[in-house]
Amino acid sequence: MQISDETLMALADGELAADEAQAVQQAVDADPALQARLRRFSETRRLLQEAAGSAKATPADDPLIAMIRKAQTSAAEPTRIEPARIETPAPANLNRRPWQAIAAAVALAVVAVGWFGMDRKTGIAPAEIAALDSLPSGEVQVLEGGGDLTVIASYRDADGTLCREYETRGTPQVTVSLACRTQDGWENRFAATMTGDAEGFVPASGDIPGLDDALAGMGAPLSPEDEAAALKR
Amino acid sequence: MDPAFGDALVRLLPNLRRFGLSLSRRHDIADDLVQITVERAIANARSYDPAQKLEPWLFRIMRNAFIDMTRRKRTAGIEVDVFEMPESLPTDPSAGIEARLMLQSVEVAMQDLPEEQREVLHLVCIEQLSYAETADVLDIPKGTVMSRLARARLALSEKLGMAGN
Repeated sequence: MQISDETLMALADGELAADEAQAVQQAVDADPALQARLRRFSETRRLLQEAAGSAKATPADDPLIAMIRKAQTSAAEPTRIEPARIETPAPANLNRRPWQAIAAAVALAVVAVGWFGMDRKTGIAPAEIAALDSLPSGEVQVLEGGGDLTVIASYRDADGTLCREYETRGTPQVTVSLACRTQDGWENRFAATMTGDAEGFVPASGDIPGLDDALAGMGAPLSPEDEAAALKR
Repeated sequence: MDPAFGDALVRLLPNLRRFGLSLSRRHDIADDLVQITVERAIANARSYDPAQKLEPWLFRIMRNAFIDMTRRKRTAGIEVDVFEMPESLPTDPSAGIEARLMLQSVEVAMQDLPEEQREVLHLVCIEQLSYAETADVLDIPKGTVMSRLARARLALSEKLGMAGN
C-alpha cells in the first residue's frame, strides 16, 4: 500500500474518514519506516501546540473589549436578511485609517476593468516591463513618458507563476495592474484605470472592482527575499 | 449585534493577536490588525452565519486586512522582528530548562520557514483549525493546504533533528 505524506499527516491530524484511517493505521502498524514518518507529523503538531500555549489576554485587549461591549448594548439594529449583498467593511474610527476615509469620500470612476479574454500581450509598455523585471515591491520608478510606477506586491499563482501587482500613476489617472511572467514575457492579467483626486490617494483593494477576483488565486505576497530570488531568474 | 457574537469576539481576542503576530511578526502591526479585525467584525456582524465557526471567519478578515496592508505599504519604517527580541518569545516558567529550549527552538525553526508554510502551520497546529477551515481562511484548495502543511512539518522536523528517514 503506497501511502503519501499527506495521507499520513491526515491520519495524525484525525482528518481521515474512519474506514480510511483504519486501513492506513494497519499499514503503519506493519511498517516501522511509516511509523517514524507518522511520528514526525504528530510530534511537530504537539510541539507547536505546546510552545504556543494558550493565547493570553493582554492589556491591549481592554479598549477593544470596551468597543465590543458598546456595540453589544447599542440600540439593536433591525435584523435584515441580505444574503447576496456584500458589505464593504467600514472601520468605526476613520481617523486611524485616513486613506479609507479619503477612499470613501472620493468617487472612483472606473473606466476599464478586466482584461480577461483580451489579447494578453497588449498594454505593457517597455518601460513598465523593465520595472517589472527588476523593481522591488514598494519602490517607485519614474517613467520616461511621464508619471511613475510603483510595484505593490509580488505573488505566486496556483501554478507557481510569478505575478506582480503594480500601479502606474499619471495625472489624474491611476492604473492598477496585475501582470504575470510567462515563457513569452510579462502578460497582463488585470488592469483597472481610475480617475482619483490630484493628491494621489491610494484606494483600498476592496474599492477596485475586479481586483479581488484577479488576486483570488494568488498566495500571500512574497517576502522581499523571496521576491528578490524570483526576480533574479 | 447578537450578545453571543460579542462574547465570542472578546474570548477570541488573544487568538487574534497571536495570529496577527504570526502574520506580521511585529507587535505594533499585530495590534493594528486586531483593531481592524474587531472593527470589521462588528460592522459586518450581520453577514456572519452563526452556524459556522467564528474563528475561520475572523482569521479570514484579519488575513485580508494584512494583505491589504502589505500591498499598500509603500515606505517601511524601521522593522523590528519580534523573534529577534527574546523577551517576546513565550516562556513557561514551570517547564524544565531543556523542555523550554526545545519549545523555543520549535518557534525559531518555524520562523525560518516560508510565510505560506508558517500560515498553515499556525492555523492547523496552533489554532487547531481543520484542513477545510484553513482552506477557507486562506482561499486555497484543501489539497494545497495539505501539501503545504506536510512540507512544512517535514521541514520543521528536519530542523529539529527528528528526521530519521
